[in-house]
Amino acid sequence: MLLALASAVLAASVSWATPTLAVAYSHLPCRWPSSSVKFYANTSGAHLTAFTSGASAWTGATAATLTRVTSYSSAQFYGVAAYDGNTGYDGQTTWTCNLLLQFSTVNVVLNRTYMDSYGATEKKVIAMHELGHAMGLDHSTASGYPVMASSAGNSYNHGTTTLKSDGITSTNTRY
Amino acid sequence: MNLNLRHSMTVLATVLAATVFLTSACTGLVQTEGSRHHIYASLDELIGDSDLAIEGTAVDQSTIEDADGGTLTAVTLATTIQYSPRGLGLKPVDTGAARGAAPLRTSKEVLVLQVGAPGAGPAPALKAGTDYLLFLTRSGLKGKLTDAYFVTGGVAGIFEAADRATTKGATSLARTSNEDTGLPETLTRDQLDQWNPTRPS
Ligand SMILES: [Zn+2]
Repeated sequence: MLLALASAVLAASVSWATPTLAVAYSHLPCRWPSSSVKFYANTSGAHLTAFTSGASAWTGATAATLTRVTSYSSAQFYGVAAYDGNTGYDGQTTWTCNLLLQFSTVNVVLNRTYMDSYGATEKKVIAMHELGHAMGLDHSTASGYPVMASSAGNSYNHGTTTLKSDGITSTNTRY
Repeated sequence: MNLNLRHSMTVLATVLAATVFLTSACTGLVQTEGSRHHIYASLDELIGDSDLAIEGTAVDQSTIEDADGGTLTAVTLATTIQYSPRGLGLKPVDTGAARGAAPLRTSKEVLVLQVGAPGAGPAPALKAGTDYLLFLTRSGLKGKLTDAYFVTGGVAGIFEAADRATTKGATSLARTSNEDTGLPETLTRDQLDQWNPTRPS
């Protein structure tokens, strides 16, 4: 019974909701235990560049440190670029997390069906968006077309190429 | 140490041990997030990106693995009404066979794919037993999923029947997406009947 109670308390603390009405960003229910996170990118060329430049953008602007490692076994999460078809999504991030609300697995996929035709900067913006999810950020409803809006490609089309205050604040309140 | 304190510590240790056990497993929460390829500003734009629009009932749901080990939800839609691109007033977008040029497969059952595990994807899951109008795009996948479709715009192409559909179709269908605010909030039977619907047999 105590176990059920403990689980219920943990489950009750899970929330996808925006923290307060005044804040446009929101968090996924889960995060990494520390602000320093390592990932392995199983791709090459322009999509590898997108992952590394996207990670550098988060590391340079926020309290989090996102590092690409070249050893699969030392990574906490994984990125790949693949032909996922006409899904309607440029990229996707699938995560699982445990009852302490820490990520167990995170897998990022850049969808080459769409992304092959994008230039380097748009590829980077899409990678930034997915890496934001991989760090525990949810979509942002902030104005000004932020990277973490529901469509990073749409934000890019409106001139966004770098992180804005909502993404930086969102990360810094998380880590 | 008194008995009550010892008892409390034993309980606490049990809860902690159980918590550690539970959290070591990869059970718990699972979700797929996505970044939309395009946000639709108008119905014409949505139609222009679609290969097919159908009304019908979601009857079956299963989980399949995509080429890179990701999870897709496959939903069979028992089609009652089908709109062809011609019926929608759609001009072929591409000159090649990719879209518009090839004849559409007219089938009573259409396999619709959604990103992520059932109920855990970036778009609301199609619910078995519910009637929908769906704007669909050919999957672009190889192999056995060649004939399957994705919902155009992930969530944008999903309109849910406000009432139980009759053989004439639902009287009104509501937009599911709260992102594509340029799309109409509802489509009525009168509007849809302008689109030269056909009923596959
Ligand atoms: Zn996203």
